[in-house]
Amino acid sequence: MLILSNNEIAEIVHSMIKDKDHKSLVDIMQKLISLDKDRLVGESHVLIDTLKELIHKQQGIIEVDLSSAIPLENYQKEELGEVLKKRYSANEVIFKEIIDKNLIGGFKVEVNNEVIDATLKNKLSKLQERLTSKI
Amino acid sequence: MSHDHIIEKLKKEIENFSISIKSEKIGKVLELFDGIAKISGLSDVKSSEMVTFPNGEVGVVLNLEENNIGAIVLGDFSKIKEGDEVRATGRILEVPVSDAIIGRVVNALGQAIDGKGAIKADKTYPIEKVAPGVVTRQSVDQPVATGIKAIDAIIPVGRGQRELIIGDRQTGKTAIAIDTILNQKGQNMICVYVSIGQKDSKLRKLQVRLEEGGAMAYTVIVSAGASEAAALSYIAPYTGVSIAEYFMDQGKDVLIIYDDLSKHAVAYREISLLLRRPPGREAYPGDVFYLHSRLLERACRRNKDYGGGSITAFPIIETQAGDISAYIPTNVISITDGQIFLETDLFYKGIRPAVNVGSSVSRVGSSAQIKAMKKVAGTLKLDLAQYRELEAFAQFGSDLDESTKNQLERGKRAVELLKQPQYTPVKTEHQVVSMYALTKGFMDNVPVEKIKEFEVGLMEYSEQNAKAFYKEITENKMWSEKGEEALKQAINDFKNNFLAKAESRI
Repeated sequence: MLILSNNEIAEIVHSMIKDKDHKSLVDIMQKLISLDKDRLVGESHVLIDTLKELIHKQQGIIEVDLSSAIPLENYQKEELGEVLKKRYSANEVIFKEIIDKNLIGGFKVEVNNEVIDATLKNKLSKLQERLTSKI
Repeated sequence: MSHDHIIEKLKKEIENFSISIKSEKIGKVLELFDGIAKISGLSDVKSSEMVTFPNGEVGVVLNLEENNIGAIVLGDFSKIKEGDEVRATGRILEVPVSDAIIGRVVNALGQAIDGKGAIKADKTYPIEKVAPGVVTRQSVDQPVATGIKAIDAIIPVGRGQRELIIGDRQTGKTAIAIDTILNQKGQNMICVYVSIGQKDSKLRKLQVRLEEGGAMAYTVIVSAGASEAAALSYIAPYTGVSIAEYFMDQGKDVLIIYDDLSKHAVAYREISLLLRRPPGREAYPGDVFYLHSRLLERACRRNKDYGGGSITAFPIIETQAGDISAYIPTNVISITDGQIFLETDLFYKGIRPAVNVGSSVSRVGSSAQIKAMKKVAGTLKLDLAQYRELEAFAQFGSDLDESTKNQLERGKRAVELLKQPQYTPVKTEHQVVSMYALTKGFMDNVPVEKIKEFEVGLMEYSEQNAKAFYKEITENKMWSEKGEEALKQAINDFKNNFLAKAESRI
């Protein structure tokens, strides 16, 4: 029996829906939904996530989780977006803003399992680590 | 130090403090159950790498899957929540080691649990290490004196050997291990006792016993108790052998006891099944052989060019109803260099240690035996083998010829001589003397029930009256004709006296 991993299925679906018109897209989607109902496709939520990632990758979009203690100004976000675009060679940055008072100050950026933590909370905990490790 | 001084120092520390903000790879806890964490992200993590959870708990990555990884949490997993950030460390799990660890009781992570404060460590050793290669090794040629007559004579163990102790529950497996540790006093040996899934009460008793015997001065106890997570039981033997390697790297000889590996296999089975690895025979995962082989391969004797030192391993396996053909026993038997079989029947017959000398073997140890012991043990082995063969016939009737009768009598005395109560290790030279007396027929006319008494008396008497013999054994490892004459004389003198006394009492 041929076993396809979720990643492989997502890639197949992706190549199928690439460059298709509206009508055939609908057909493919209906087929997939019926397959999912018959439990012929594995975990569909994983599939959808992977598919989304694939499409984003192709179009050069990155999703960024931006956490900060207070909301960032628009110009700040734009500046950050430019930096991130360069770093990840992307065309577009989608911010998902999270406000977390516990961070005290600064901001934290999460992209594809990578974290850039520039919050005050992180600095303080690093300082604590260093001071306690010396004893 | 005044308060101001501390504050000044702190201020300075804080002033100098700077961090560079870097991007870090993190993962998130997807789910957590029974000490197993499924983590998303961490795409660059390696197998058996250490990961850290927010509250300082550590985990070890065991499964690498397409979209997530499976890690075991070492320690308390009740504070870890779904969605917690997990950081990779880029290192495999390490334990702190130092000379100060001797005499202490530590857990599977190398932290002190005996309430005597933290152990100052100057180094850390990774728990998984590739065993020393072929060129660094040397064959076994130095004995480990266990102080147990049956073992030292018939199943001798050498430094760097792996000798399995196998038997049902309550047959004295741990007792042999403890006696061996107790006998290492002054033998230039460091002992590591790894307790896996044992009752804490048992461990405490053992620790007290070792302290009483002065054995904690050269012993480390590594414990993963029955109440702790299976993950800790799984890594405890590796922790133990890493500590042993630390001492071996200093050129020392180390003795390590794994008590017991059947519980270790069970802990690993639990982890594997929780990680959804496919079960095999007896529901153990496919790599359960490698689990023990890589552990026991780390026991070795290194040659001088590579710093010398050795690790002698005594793995213990508990069998169920004497079934040594179960999966784990057969695996470990095939890995080790011999086994000491303990049997329930013998134990209840009063033959203690309940070693079955017929099916116990030591594949490499005989080359480590001293010459004198080799000489007496050879005859003893033969006597015992003949006795076992004749024992069955002897029950049918008394119609036996003289030589058969003699052999039976000799065998009975040999069995009696090998009996030894717990915590009474016997010195090698004493063992040689008593076995010499037996195999040369000096004990043949001593009543069987008096053998014990005779032996004790003989040891005392001969030590006083056959000093030449003892001197030769300790210095040259073999007796000369002169020493032998002195011993014969001493034995005869003592025996005549002993028998006369016994008669007069009647």
